[in-house]
Amino acid sequence: MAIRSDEIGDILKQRIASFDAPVVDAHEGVITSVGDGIARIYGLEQAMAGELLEFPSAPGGLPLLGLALDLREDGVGAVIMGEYGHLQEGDTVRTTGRIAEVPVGDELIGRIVNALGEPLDGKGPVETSQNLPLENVAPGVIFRQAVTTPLQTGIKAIDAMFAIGQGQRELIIGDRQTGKTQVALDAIINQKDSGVVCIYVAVGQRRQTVAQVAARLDAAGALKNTIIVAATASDPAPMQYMAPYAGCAMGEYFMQKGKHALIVYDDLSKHAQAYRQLSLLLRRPPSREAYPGDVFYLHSRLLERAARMSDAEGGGTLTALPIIETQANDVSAFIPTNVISITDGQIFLETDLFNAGIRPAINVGISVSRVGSAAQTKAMKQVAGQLKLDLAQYGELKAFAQFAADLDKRTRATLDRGQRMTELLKQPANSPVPFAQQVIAIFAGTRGYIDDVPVERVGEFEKGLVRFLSTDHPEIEKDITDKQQITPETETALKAAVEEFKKGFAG
Amino acid sequence: MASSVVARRYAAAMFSLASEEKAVDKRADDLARAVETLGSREVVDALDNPRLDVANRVRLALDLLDGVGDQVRNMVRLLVERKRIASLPGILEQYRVLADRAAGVVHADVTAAIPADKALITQITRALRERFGATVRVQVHTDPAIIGGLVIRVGDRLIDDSVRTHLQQLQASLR
Repeated sequence: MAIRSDEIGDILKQRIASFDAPVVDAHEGVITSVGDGIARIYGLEQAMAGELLEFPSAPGGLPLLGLALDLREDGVGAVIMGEYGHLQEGDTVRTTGRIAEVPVGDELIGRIVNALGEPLDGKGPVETSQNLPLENVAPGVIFRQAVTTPLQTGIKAIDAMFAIGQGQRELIIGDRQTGKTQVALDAIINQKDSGVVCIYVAVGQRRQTVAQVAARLDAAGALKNTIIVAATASDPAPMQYMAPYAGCAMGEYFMQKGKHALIVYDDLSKHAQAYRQLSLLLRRPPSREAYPGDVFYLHSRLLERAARMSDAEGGGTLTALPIIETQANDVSAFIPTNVISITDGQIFLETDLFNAGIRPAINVGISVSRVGSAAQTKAMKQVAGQLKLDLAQYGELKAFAQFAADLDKRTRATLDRGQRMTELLKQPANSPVPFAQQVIAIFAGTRGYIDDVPVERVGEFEKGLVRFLSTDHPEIEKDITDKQQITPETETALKAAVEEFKKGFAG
Repeated sequence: MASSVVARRYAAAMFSLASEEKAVDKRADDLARAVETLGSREVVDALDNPRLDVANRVRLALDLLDGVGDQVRNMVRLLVERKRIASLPGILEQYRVLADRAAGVVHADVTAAIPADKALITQITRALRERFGATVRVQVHTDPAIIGGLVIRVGDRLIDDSVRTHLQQLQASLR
């Protein structure tokens, strides 16, 4: 695009003509010490908690802002959001009268932004008309209603055994390299046609990883209803601290409009670490694992903002999928126990399972959804009622069975069923399964139709069955999708269809 | 930083004593004299020197404060005994803040680009009195660097209507 110099002149002329110089009326303080992204400021007695402060900008640089976090009798401790190399003792700092806030709105959908809502994807400025404060008090009890509608993740194991409801907070927890992010991304990908707006908050990750996530969502066609909020490892700790709250504010906008939103915090362990850094530099007393005393509140106030609003309030929802990374499967470390106790359940992913090829590597025994069956469709309850118990039993028996040569008939049957169900619940990445197809596959499993199929052919059987039903008996899938339950007539038809398919499959 | 908290406490105690005796201004003068005599680095070091015993240091301080009121002498004794004598200037500063607040006096620090004449000062004083509802004591500095307009500081409140700041705002808006 050619830029004509007289055009620039015109624009500048306009800007100068319309420039309205406001009188600065602020409070002023003096920096007494600065370093490690923290400034201590003398004065500023009128500063508000969480207020944005204006620091002197670097020569020729952009305005430099800070956040007043520590209000003391004799001054303010503030975190500086940006490069602070030019700041010196004695520099003056002004209040702005603004509490930290982020732009929110539909315009953000499909964009990658930082913790302040500024674009990072090179697609031009984000023109929003509204801002919401970073910190917002979670909706009160009377503004909420019980979680009853499922949020389909498209992951068979989760939708069948640990159903997530809209407005629920379900923790995804596990060691590094166990597919935590993948589970969250699959859930996002499955929302591409459901009208649920997704927000992916990356905290303390590599920029490379964030770029990969964006590319994967784009390839799956899910970026068009997703906002990515990125505060990467190279961003200052204050930005990493703010990113989840920024993403949450963006999600709350949709919830308040009566829409549905899903937010993924990837991950809150790094968030706690960023906050620990800030707190230690602000000289707050450290407690367990050197985290500050209010690290529980850090996460509880964030996750409490996920809610299902009552119908009088528009009925919007914000579902949260926080992610926590454990070290060597230790769920009893400080941050994991905190977040486990705040959330409505957890999906526990294990390295051993992952390496054994069971993906998603969900440990059925200790994963749980405390909203669970209330947020499951009738159809899924009909077919998957016993599944979790069966698989948990299988997990226990499996260990014994390795030593026993001959087992009684019932044990043998439990083992066989467990093996095949585990096989059935395997699912490759980036391939969410529609609800009705999940029901059909699990129907075949729990009603014993795969008990005589060789274990290594279960996957093939499932694929074949689903394909067969959608070509030869599309009415069954449609009926389940429409009615959200299996009527006695459909059940008869489904049984007949599965038997018909089995005849062809064996040969 | 912690020292300003200490200074505030001593100043508050001294101020409440002084106002009970209705001798706020006299006490301020006494404090100012004490700061003048004992405020220098060398004197503070000597009075904080643990090699001399406390009785000697107290006597030294009190000898220097001949003619100063009893209350201030007693406070200096306390400060020396508690190794807080370095806070004395801070105490004076805080004391003045308290005294001004009680009397409803506000100090305004005005910076102008050109030397201000009497009419201008009166005008500023009147405007500030309306704004803050208190007796305003205005002190005017001249600083050509602000180019034009006025910068007014009252405590940590800043009212900036200088040409320099407006130019900076213009620069930021054109970026």
